[in-house]
Amino acid sequence: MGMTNDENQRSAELWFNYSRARISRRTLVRSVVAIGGVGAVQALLAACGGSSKNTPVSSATSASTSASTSASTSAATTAPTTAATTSSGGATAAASPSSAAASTAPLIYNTQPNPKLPPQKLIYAGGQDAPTIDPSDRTDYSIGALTMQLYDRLFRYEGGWPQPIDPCLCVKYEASTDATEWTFNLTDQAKFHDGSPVTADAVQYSINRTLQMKKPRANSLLPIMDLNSVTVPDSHTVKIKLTQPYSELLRALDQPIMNPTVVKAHEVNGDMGAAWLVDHEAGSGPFTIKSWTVGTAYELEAVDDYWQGWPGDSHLSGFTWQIVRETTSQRIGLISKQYDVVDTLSADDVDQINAQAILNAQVNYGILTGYTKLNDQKEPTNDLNFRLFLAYAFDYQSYLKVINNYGQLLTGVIPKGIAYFDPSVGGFQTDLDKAKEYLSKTKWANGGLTIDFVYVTGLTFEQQVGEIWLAQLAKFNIKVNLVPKVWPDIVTGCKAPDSAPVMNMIFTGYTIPDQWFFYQWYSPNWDRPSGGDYNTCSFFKDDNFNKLVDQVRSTSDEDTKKKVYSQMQQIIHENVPDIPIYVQPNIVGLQNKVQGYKYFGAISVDFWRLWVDDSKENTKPSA
Amino acid sequence: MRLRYYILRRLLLFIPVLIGLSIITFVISHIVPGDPVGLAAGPGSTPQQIEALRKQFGMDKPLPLQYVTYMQNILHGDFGRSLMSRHSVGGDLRAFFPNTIELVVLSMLIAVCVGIPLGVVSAVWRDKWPDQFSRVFALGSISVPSFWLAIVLQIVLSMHFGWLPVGGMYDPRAAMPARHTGFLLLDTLIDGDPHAFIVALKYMILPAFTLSLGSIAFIMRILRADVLETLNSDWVKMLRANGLPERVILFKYVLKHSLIATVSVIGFIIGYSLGGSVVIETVFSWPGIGLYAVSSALTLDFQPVMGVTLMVGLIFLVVNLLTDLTYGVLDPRIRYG
Amino acid sequence: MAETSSIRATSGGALRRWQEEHQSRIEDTRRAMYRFVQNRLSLLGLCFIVILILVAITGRWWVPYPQDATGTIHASDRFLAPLHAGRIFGTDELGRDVFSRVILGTQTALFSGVIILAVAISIGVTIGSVAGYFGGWIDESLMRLTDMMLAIPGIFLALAITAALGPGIIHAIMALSVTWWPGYARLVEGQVKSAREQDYVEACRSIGAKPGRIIFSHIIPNIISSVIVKASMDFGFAILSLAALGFIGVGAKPPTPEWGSMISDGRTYLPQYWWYSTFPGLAMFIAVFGFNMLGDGLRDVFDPKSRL
Repeated sequence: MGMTNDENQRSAELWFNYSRARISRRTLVRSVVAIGGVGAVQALLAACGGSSKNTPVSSATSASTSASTSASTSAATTAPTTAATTSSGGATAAASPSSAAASTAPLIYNTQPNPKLPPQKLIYAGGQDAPTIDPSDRTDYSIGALTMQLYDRLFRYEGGWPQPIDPCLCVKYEASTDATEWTFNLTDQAKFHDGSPVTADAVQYSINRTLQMKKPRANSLLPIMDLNSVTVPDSHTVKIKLTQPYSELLRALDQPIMNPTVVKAHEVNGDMGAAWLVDHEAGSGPFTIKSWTVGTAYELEAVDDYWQGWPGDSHLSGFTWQIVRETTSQRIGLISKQYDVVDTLSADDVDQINAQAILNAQVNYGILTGYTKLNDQKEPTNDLNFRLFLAYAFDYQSYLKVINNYGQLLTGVIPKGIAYFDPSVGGFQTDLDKAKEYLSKTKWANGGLTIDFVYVTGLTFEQQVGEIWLAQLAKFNIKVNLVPKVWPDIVTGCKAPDSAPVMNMIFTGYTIPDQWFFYQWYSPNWDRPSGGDYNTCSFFKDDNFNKLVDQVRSTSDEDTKKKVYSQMQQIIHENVPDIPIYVQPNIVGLQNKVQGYKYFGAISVDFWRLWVDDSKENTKPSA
Repeated sequence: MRLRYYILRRLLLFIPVLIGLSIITFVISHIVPGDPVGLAAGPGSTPQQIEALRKQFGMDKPLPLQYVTYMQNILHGDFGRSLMSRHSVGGDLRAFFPNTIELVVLSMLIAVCVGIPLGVVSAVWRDKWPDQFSRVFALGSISVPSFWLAIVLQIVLSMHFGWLPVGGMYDPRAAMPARHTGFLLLDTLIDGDPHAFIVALKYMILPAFTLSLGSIAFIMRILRADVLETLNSDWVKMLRANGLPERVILFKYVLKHSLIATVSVIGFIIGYSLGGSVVIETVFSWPGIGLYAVSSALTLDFQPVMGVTLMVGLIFLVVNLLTDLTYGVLDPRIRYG
Repeated sequence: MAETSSIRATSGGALRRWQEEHQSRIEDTRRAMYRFVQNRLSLLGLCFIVILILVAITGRWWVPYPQDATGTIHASDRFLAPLHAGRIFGTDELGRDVFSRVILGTQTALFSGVIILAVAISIGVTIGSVAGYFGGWIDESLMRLTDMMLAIPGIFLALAITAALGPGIIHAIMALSVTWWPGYARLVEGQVKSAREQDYVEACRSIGAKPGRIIFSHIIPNIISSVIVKASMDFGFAILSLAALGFIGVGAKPPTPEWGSMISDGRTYLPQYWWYSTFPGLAMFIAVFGFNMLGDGLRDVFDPKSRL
């Protein structure tokens, strides 16, 4: 939806004040309209207090595009009446939206296609395979991009970056103040592909199936839920009672909802349908599977009467996800019009793509961040002074030049787009004098040691970081040994401090703010018998920090959260467990005629929002 | 009778060779320092999850027992499951192998159609410019790395001139033809769809041609040597003495004889092409086993790697046997038994 | 032989004595060299090789930016076109001089090729000659072992080995040597088998020479020519296989300049920054082409059948 961080913040504050009865409904509506237009009001009230019998479709569409000031006054009078007919949940509806932006998106979109823009097929060249689309198994950018189209979830997050929380199957939610009891009201408009309605039973079944199968998808839910957590008071209400308080449940609840009847019908030997769901779908999403050739191409076609409609001027009739691993082939295919969208271009391709009249390259910065992780439990990096030396020794500007300026240097310990980022904490810059000063405080004031820099073989951008380390540290008489390894090797090495290297180049990223701290620097995640994984391979340990992480995950009070996040960032900055290098851009190459692209923080695209307009073939999108 | 005996003996020898191959590959995949199970379970997985996955794949048992179980399953046609995708390896092999075989067969056809004439020309006009040109062309084409040449061809023929597609197996905007045999070209012919056949050929021609270059050079060289030898042998001298024109000698007698030489290298060429397919398939996004083997090897997913190794080994042994038998049929001097 | 006795009397006659004893061999070699020189392409190949060897040995003394091969980077000089700012072949994405790295890469390429072949030949010739000489079940089992190794294209085995041991040029060389020896074993086995029946071997055996001595002092020198021919043609393929492993991602460790890795790294920048991939590719072409031509010429020389 394109609301800025500021607007999100303001709407959140407004809602907060309203729920505390500090402002009247009238004031709320007027203020919200001023921020985001008609749609904002409807969506806000719809998500947090309206019934599913929403206002007519037409006004919903105009909301997203126009600021419609003239319409706003008239609509503003209608909106409150709709909202007024429903109970807004009373005192318990203190829905502090946590880090979520108050949604400005409507529930139902345009269901009638524009006759001037008939739906067309799109060819997408993806760099990665999707070996399984079982919604309880695991997710990565390719799997996620496809399951998102085949299934619906309770919410949609792809409306922009930072990710808003827009209604999908859930139209209204409430949370208790201690963030342990949550109630979700579902829409009655949603239908599975076999025609049956999406009910609360399906939600319960899907969540429980994931919890039972205990595959990677369950990792964010298992700590806070068990098989008794989800209850179904009626056919369109889901109640979740968490075993531990968790304020970010909305973002963690991205479970695609499956059709229990269909899944159970394909059960073999009690596998809960796992074998069938690897390459078949049982969803309610905007697309279904036309053909599925693993390792080669996945063909999806649109569901004409998809219940939620289509947000753009038109939509796709279908799309094919072709697996093209070579970026050169992707680029050549885009230029020769064989592909319409390609997803893993490199920084040096951007200029070449933009130079073509029919193409455009979109460069966005999201969550994918590269850290040089330092082993805090091993010499020499167990010495804080040595780590500070490294932080000031790295040549950040050179690296930026090497990647052709398509990268964002970090100005803190997490990217600045992440919620609760505290700009006052600051980052590091190259300062060779300071570096020398810190080095002289260590045992190796004159250098004379060799350290290993481990990275994933074949990844040129990781190799380049290593080569800069090599060049810089050579100035201090320290030798860097570049060690390329295959990925499984690296993951195994990260189990314990002894087997882990001194320097390890790791790329990571999380959509939920607390995960940045919980997965990387929370010591119980590595200081245990089973060891750690690639996230924790800096082996940072600080009891005070651990307490702060626990605190921030269980509270839903905005002020506390802001304070604690700042404190955590300060601790990490002072202790330098890792050297944050840069945020890697997501670069997508598109034919100009492909419309509707919106960056939402991930590598891929949301096909539901796209359509093809041949008249725009030579019109580059305005920035 | 003796021929049957020979075939039987060779077939029986397949078994120890394949067993040895499987042991070698098994040992290599298991002395790896990395732990593929932890990787396959995903980040943030609990130790219980990892152990459960390990049990599911039977990897908690001692190595020799794992090997025996694996071989037993093979006899039932079960090649195990990929650790990363959980797909059955047998199913994956059935999907990918025909594509590679199709590519290799087409590249061999090209190699034969181009290599034989080149070899003959080289021999007949020995040391004159056709010979020099053919030799330079053949040897030059294999002196550059195949992946570089593949990309250059892509840039020139696909991007610049737009004559041929960049990669993939078929036009993603058109309906994929029905699959019967697993070989796309054959399927389009079976369905009597010439348009689809042309499209499929267009997608296949560039990877097949790039793959064939090494084989062209090899066939050309072998043929040149053989034809040279034959042209100067006594029996040809005799034909000349009898007044037969040179052209007749060449096409009616010498060529037939030289085909024997070509057959003898078919085995080698297939092996070379299978190896070269790894790189070619990556560049042209051709869904074959080369790509499959590389991605499995890089994630230490040993069951697919073993499956591919055994299949390739088997193909190689079969091809060698067929080559030797054909050799025996063509050349009466060589009989087995 | 009357001349011999008179020569023996003169001092400094040692050289002449040696010449007399090996007279036929010397004449053969002279004839061979004459024929070799007649083949222009092979001569060209030999020239290429000689230049390469010279470059490999002397490169580090006259290369303009030797430090670019050991880790120095110049981020501001990124992707300079050839003949700009003193960089003959331009620079790569880290600003390193492509010319210097290509020249210094010659050393790596030739060195790796020599090692791979030396190891492969040592193992292969030994196994092949033992199998061919002794025959029987030794022959059968060793040949089955060879068949087994030959039954799978080298790159798969090399991939498995490097995936297990990790990337790095030494591992890649090891892996390739292991996959290369069966070819030589097979070649040598056949030749030793037929050589075994020859008269001179019969003669050696009758005077009680041990099998080892027969094999190494007598049989092998006679069949070494085919091994040399195969080796010279394999050299090119060895370097190319190393490049293919680099392409997949299990090749030399940076910042070592290695032609295959340079071509592989540079391929994503084609055709815009074409010099990054093209010059190492050209160098590789010269090397492989040279060795192939040399091998062709040597084969023409040694192989009596094509000596027409």
